[in-house]
Amino acid sequence: MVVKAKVLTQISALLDNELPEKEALAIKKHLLSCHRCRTEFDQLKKIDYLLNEWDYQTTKCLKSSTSYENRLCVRIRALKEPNRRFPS
Amino acid sequence: LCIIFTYIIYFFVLFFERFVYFLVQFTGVFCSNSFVCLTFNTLARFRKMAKSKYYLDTPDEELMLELQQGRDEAFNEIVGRYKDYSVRFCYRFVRDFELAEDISQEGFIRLYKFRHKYKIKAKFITLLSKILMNLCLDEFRKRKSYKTLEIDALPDGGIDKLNAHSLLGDESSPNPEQEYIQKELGEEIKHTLNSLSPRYRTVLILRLFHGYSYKEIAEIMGASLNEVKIWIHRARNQMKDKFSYYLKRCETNGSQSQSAYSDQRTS
Repeated sequence: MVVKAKVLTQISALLDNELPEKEALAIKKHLLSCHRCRTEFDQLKKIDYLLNEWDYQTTKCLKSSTSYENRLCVRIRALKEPNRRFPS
Repeated sequence: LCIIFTYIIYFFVLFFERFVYFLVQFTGVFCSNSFVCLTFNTLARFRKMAKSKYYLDTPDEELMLELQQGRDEAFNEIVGRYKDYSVRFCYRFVRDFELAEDISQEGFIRLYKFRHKYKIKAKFITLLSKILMNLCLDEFRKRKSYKTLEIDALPDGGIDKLNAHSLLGDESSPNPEQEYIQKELGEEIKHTLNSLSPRYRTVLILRLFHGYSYKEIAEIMGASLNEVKIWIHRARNQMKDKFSYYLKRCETNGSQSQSAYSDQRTS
């Protein structure tokens, strides 16, 4: 069972391409032979894809607004001279 | 006559500084012997401005060092480079545009405030991400105590938009049903991400949305590589458990509608 848990962690790392070559090969071999691990791998992949796509769709046209720098400037000046009042 | 001439230049420069600063620099060099005193201030200012032009190629870490020495233009450059990144970074955490902008500004202010403590240890972007992450997590903690999280988790204007669509019978969208499913799914994802513990949520955001490597995530979160590895694994598994219904639907529908989010990225 311990071995199993370790394999599952490795699968997650494999998805991220974070395994050294030797281990990656071993896990891939294991995936070929073990049906359960393979479905696990596929499911995780699907979830990754889903999340990634959702994030891409929601943030693709996200940009800071045009007054961003001005507001930041005002806030920083307020930081430098805390006693001075600025028109809001 | 010379003095009058310099004054004229001085005022000219004051009003049109952005447009003519290179010209003034030139004249400054030209008559530097006689009018040093009068033009000194202006020239110093324009040297600085000219310098900010060179910042284009300067790496971020050096910009921070420049800032430490009191050159605020370096800070401008930093903000210019990273404002979009930081807004997006915060948005991925809080999913609210205005709040995200606010937090990212707070991050820059913090960067400015503690500029003297900066030391080159890691990449600059790691430091910025770290600051922003901490601010976002603080925000979550604050809200949890106020219990406003639930209200904000509701779609912002999403319901109204949906109603408007159905009332007007809008036919511009190719497949309203599909769109509705997408929206539902989006809300679901948002909600599920929110329900994860902060650590797992952070790990997922950094890994899946930003694509940082494990090493970078470890640096940002101040944890060891092994911990990060295990966190990501657990976070993934939690997401998988919560979306098991979605996976089942995928299987029954077959490959035809593998994801409600059609892959438009290939175009």
